[in-house]
Amino acid sequence: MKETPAFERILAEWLDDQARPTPPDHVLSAALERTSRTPQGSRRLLVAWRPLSPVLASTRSRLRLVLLLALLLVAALGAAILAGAFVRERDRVPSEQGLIAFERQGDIWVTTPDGTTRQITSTTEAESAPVLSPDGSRLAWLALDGDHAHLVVADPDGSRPTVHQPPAGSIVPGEGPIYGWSADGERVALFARGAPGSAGAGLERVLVLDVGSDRWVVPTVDSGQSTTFGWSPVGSLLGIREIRGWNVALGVLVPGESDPRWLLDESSIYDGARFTHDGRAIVLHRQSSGSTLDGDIVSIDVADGTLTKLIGGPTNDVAPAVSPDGTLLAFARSSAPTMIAAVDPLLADPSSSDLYVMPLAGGTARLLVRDVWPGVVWSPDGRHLLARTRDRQDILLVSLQEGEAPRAGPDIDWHEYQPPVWATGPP
Amino acid sequence: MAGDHEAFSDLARASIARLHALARLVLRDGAQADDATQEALVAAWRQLPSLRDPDRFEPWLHRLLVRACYREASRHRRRRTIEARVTPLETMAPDPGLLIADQDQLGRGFDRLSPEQRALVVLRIHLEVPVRDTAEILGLPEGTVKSRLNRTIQELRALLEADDRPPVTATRLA
Repeated sequence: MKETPAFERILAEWLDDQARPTPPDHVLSAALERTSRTPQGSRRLLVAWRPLSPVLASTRSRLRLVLLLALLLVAALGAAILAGAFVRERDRVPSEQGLIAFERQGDIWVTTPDGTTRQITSTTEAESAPVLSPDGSRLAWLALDGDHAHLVVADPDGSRPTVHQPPAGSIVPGEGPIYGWSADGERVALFARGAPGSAGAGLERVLVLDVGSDRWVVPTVDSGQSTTFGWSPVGSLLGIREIRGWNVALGVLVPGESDPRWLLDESSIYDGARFTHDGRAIVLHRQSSGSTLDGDIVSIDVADGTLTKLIGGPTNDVAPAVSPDGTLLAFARSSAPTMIAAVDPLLADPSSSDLYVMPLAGGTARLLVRDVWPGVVWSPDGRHLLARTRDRQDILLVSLQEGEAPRAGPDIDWHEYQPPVWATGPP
Repeated sequence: MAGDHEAFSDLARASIARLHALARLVLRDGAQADDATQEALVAAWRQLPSLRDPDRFEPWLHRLLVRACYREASRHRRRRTIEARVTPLETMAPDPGLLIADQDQLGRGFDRLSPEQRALVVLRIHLEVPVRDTAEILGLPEGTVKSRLNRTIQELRALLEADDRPPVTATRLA
């Protein structure tokens, strides 16, 4: 039997002590009072957009309607004047930069970077993990179905929903993640586990849905356990990562096939892999010389598996991301490597990671912002990055424009394994 | 409906202490724990008809509570962060657990973890929820639960180490 480390024993005793006080009586009584007047389980999957005409039709007299319109006109004029007076140009983010989907309190929302927000679902049940297709024309999310989930695919306003149950032998946990859409918007990849009683029960696996044909593909892996590092921006290759004992294998899955093409299999590769803009290479963090405190950024050629070092040196560089036009590489640098970086290089040291950008072809790295959590999302035009503050509580919108300070980004949730998708489509 | 509610009330009474303790440890605030526990129970009542496997009631209820805690935490999110420089691996003492001077120090370190990290620690170390159920409750892969717990314990130890050092190493940020 494995012995519990001394520190964990002390922590367990302290937690037991902290948990001892009994809850106040009013908590249970208030909850039961609320449930006694709350209906159970009415499944309203989607809330239709409320058109304006019924509201106007319910107005009892024409006079009231005229007064209402006049008031609205005055209010609109006032708002326009105030907006012109107080909103500075630099505080605006063009809405043509697209859509961001996110989950809040069990419902799906869509927002533009300038803050225009729409609620897509409003149900008593939990929806999660919304992911927009690359062109912004389709939205996928998970809907909790009892203790498991199914996939819903709809238009970005929630209309035309289709429900896709996972294939036999797989279950989808309630909160995802969904790994995202293929570049052509035809396939969705998501996280699943082998269903109880099936081969590979409980093992983590990737499911790929061909949305048009409602056909599922389960990539074949040696260990029965796999994840993905995402879709290629072009070519619709799906990156596959398989744990093989002490080794990690990386490969790509070609559309329509179930056997991945493996590119490497070694013990020193860690996560953080992403395709480059053209899908021809994969960039990732890799420990150098077996040191847990010295990580490099390398690229792997998808065609022949050739490995090239992009950033070396004594620094610990993690979480690479190539800009949409393929000219720039954003990454996080841990300036004071620590034991935390040693335990999980993907996450590096949350107390001292700084965000840098440099030409992908090589050159000087430029510091964009200090004290961020590793991992960024590029805007479709490559002019901004979405990043998180070190405590992961706030989103930053980081401009690549020299001298332009980072500012608060949209108020969205950021799932650790499902970064927000910044789609190019129209709002 | 009335019978259903009576049965649910029994379940809620049986679970309330455990739920509230979990919420209190994750949120580190009694009033927020009250709200999160209430929200989780109301959500459980609403969603109970969709629970297909009664044997999974407890993980399911914990999942609702953890989600409620995250929402509560995000409503009361702290705008102020505390920087604590952590110690490189090679200079760490063999087991800082043996060096903890008082329980308050552990409390301060625990408070500095994120709600997500505290939920993980409480589920695995206090409630001893199996890895698989923890993964389901937190919506994480099982491998991630293991690696993240390991990292969180290391981070907590590092925070305690930092707490032991002179205050010059801690800087408050706006």
